[in-house]
Order: sequence, then structure tokens, then C-alpha cells
Amino acid sequence: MKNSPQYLRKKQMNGTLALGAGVTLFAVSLFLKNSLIAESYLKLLQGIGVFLIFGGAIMLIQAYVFKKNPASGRKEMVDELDERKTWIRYRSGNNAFLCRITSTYITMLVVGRTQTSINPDVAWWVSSYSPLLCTSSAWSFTKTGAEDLTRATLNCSFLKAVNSTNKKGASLTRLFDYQESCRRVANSTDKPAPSSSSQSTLPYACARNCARHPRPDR
Amino acid sequence: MKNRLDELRSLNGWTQQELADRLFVSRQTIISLEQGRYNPSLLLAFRISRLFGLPIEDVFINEENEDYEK
Repeated sequence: MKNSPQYLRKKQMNGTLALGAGVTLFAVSLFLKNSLIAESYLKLLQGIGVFLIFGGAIMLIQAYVFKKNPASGRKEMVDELDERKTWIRYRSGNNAFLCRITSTYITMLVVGRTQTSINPDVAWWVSSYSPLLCTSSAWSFTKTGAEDLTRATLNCSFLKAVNSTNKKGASLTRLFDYQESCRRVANSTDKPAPSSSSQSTLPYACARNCARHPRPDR
Repeated sequence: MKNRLDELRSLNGWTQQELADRLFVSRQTIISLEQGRYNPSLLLAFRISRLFGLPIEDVFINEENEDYEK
């Protein structure tokens, strides 16, 4: 996007869309106020509506200012689209993501080790700051879910899990698959030990690690 | 990765801000490029070489290749 008019048009369009969507959501929430829909859902709608209204209004004001003063508009455009600044933003976002994953993992370790349930407020904050757990918060912060997952991870050694998933191509899905299989093995230690052939079907040498570090008795 | 951005800019008599304006990047990016602290994207590298009317290899010098040739 090399020219300011194109940038300006995009800004105007985005602002108008956000403002329109925000007003619509807010109006819908007011319209449904006396219906049977739970108030919390209506407040959620109102909140999103207000957020979009403010966002859209800011974009439209920016577009208006750029229109009045093209030089400042061009400077703003260059600042926003500058590739080095974009790269710095991506990098800092990536670092923040890694920090959040680490903090979440440490929290899970603490929960698993102390065998106590986590305060829902703490869980909410941790999960909201962690994109990783936002996707799996439905099960990871229930008491048993967090304990089982953490214990299974501890039994199978997190580093080994990461190493083995890295060898196969690092991905969180693989890591979770690995942890899930570890958890299954850890749960099955109460039952008679499975044969070696069934263990070998588990992914990424998990069965071997779990057998070496059996789950402690509750 | 070395580059001749500073030299070529001086030859054309442009300031860092003028060059930044021509390339649609910020002045900080030009400073970082000249000091070799930042390697440009392929798109920006092509834009720079086109602006100076030179092949991309004449503007950017890959040190690894130089070592290899030696």
C-alpha cells in the first residue's frame, strides 16, 4: 500500500464497518432487554458493541484528520506499515506468547504438585493471558483435568516431550497428543501392565518414559 | 549482510529522511539498514535497488558468499 488515498479509504471503510456493527449490536442488546435471554449475554453484546463503536469512531476521526492534513496522514501510514516496526511488533508478540505459555505451564505444575484446586479468579486471569489455554480452558482448569495433565507431564518429563515433538515437527497439537497419551498410560498404571506390543503403539516413545517414571500413588 | 546504502545515498545527495520518503519506510529503518543492524525484506531490497537503478547484488553484499568464494 504505497499511496495515502488507498490507506485512507481502508481506514474509512474499517471505521464505518466497526461503527455500524457496534451500533447494531448495541441496538440489538437494548431491543432484547425485556426478552428471556440471560442478562449476562446481553451485557456481553453491549460490551462488544461499545468496544466496536469506540474503535470505529477512533478510526473515522483518524481518517478525517488525515484527510485534512495529507502530510501527517502519509507519515502515520509509513509509521504503521514500516516493515521494521512490523517486525519488532511480531517479535515482541511472539515473546509475550512464550512468556504466557511458560507462566501457564508453571501454574499447572503448581496445581498438579499441590493437588489442590485452583482459585477460579486466578484460573481466569491465567487463561485469559494465555492463548494456549484459551483454546483448551474448557478442560485444562477443571481440578482433575489440570492435575492429571500435569502429573502425566511430570511422569513423562516435559523436556522429553518437547524434544520428541520437535523431532517430529514442533507443534502444540503434537505436544498435547503426547501428553494425552502419557496421561492414559499414567492412569492405566493402576490396572495390570499392558504388553510391550501395546505400549509401542503410543506415540513418540512416551510409553518407555512413563514406564521409567511411574505415576506416584494418590 | 553489508550494503552500500550510505554511499549511494550520499552520491545522490539525499538525506536519510528523503530516502525514507522515497522508499515508504521510516527514517529509523534507513538508519538501521545503513548501520547493518537490520536486513531488509526482499520487497524492500528490490525497491532500493530499483530506486538507485542498480542490480540488487551491487547494493547488498552477502558476506557469506564472499567468504565462500575466497
